[in-house]
Amino acid sequence: MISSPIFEKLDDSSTPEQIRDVVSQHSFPLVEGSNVTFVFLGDAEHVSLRHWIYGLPASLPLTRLGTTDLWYRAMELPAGSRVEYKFGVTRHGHEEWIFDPLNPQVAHDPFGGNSVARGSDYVTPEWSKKIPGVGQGRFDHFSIKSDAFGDQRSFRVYVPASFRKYRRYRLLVVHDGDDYVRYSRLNHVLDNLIARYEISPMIVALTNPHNRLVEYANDPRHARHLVEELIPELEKHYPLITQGSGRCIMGASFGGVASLSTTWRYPGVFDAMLVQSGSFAFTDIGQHSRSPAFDPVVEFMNKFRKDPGQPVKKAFVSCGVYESLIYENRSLVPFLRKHGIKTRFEEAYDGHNWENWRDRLRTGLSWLFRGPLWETYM
Amino acid sequence: MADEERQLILLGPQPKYGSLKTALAQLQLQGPVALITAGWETDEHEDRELRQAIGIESINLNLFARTEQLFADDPELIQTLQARQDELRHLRNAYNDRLHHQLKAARQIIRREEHLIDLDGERESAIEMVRQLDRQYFVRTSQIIDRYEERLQTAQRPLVVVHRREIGELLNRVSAILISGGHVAIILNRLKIFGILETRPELPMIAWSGGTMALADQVVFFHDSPPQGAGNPEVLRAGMGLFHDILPLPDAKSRLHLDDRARVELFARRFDRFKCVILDEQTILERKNSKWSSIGGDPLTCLGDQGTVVNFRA
Repeated sequence: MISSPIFEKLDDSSTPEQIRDVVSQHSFPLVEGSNVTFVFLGDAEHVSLRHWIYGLPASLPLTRLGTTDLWYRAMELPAGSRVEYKFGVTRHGHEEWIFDPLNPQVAHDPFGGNSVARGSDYVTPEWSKKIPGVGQGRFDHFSIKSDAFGDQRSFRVYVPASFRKYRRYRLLVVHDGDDYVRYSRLNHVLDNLIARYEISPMIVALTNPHNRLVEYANDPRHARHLVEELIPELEKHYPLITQGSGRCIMGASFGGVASLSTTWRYPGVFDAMLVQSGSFAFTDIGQHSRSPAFDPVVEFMNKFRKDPGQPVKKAFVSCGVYESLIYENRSLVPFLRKHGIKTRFEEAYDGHNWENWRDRLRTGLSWLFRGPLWETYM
Repeated sequence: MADEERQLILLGPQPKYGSLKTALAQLQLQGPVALITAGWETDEHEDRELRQAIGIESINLNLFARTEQLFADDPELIQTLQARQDELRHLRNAYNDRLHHQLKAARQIIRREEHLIDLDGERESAIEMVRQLDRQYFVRTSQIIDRYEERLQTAQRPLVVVHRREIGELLNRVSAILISGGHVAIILNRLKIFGILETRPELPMIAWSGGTMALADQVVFFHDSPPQGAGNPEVLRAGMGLFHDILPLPDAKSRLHLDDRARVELFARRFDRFKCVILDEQTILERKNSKWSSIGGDPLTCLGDQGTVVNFRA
């Protein structure tokens, strides 16, 4: 157990007032170098740290300081880490997962959100925030009939602030587009990176699934919808570069699988691919041990690994080292390179979450759709 | 009038055209001014805000649009320039490969702290290797450009002659030339194709950001932390050579790590032929009667060879 200096001032004889006085002098979780101390104050029978760091037990108990109502747990967290967590607080035999009441840092996601522990040196990127004075792109709304799915599909399109109808633009097709905007602030990221000339101005299609785990798991209807329905529709409305060199496809988790399977089914349509924490589960022998939702993914990945072809020319792959998919993503990188795909890989001390994916966007997008920063001095 | 005698004002970035307005007031211009916004590329004509800031009549020379037209009408010109570009690109790749290693070595030796031995000689030698590489690359790019120019005879091409004549007529009506920032190589190429500096060399000129870089003796790209690439300052090629003693560094406060002594020292010593002058939003650097001076409140600063930003004295 790693000890924390704040407990030099506290022991099991400390009064509630003394404890609250010491606690009020710090922010939590307490970060001291590579040590992080989580603290919970309150009556409980048991308190645990619920996190998603692959390789550690999913529930790490906090220790009660004597008979006081202060619970704590210190752990090592490498510099630059970002960890999402909740406290599991057991009262009257019932465990409830709650945000850390002492930590104002919260990350949201489609399931609600989590508290965030930031290791030393972690800083939220400036370019991910809304910055006054930076031109904001607009959203255009579309709804098109899909023959592939036999239903109506709605999506938004990000159009950069500097849009001019006589210029030609690159196209980025994003899976889980609304979630990328809501949880990864994709629109602010695009606004800022375009304003800084780090990425070229681009049109961004923000697509959303109706049945994610089915449509994103190598569903031929999905690939057909994007390539034969969505792109032609966009080309009617925007001055797009109509070759693969002007297109990139992007997605996270199952959206990464959808990106890869679409490019595999339609090689040459997209020259570039940006995949984050892709759910690229595969087997070399036997059955996989993930949930049944992964069955079609594993089937696809096994096929892909046998016959990859050249789905794209350039791929940016990122993954958190705290997530179980790190093995699959690390495996993918040499495989892509071996098959002639120029691949860049970025790992982060982070997990399977939207802020990890946000934080990697600058490197990924600027590598795939490089802006004129180096040559341009406005 | 020699280029060195032309009245010149160099500015940093112009998000709100603040220092540009001050510079214009300094010149007390009566007549219209010529605008060169080719660095904005296809946005060249989006100059309404700029025109409003200028406050007097302005004529955009439309150099970007003219070049596009020229390329469409004179295929041999664009094909030859593309072939030239291919050669330059290959040369630039080779230069960057060598530069990467030499800069790394120079940075390491500058940062190395030894108490038992004086490494000043080794530091100077490492920096001189970089200077030598820059010089070699500069000469090679100039040779390639000259060789292609012999084939092209740009100034004599019939369509170029027409454009130059039109531009000459426009320049006869103005009392100054303003060159915006933007894509530096594009500005530089357009200034050369249309012979802008050769027509009415007595006209005062105001340039900002990328525009100042294009007018310099040589163009040096810089950014210490670009999202891609090593961030190694690199010589592009010869600029217009309107001045030979200053290397303009627009927006240096955001593009360079000015608190990194080793990087600042290496930059300043590598380019010690020049004063590496920081051009920020408020900077106004004027050359009048062949002498540089500052207009306005803030003192001019440049990169010092001891690794810090120091006051610039002309």
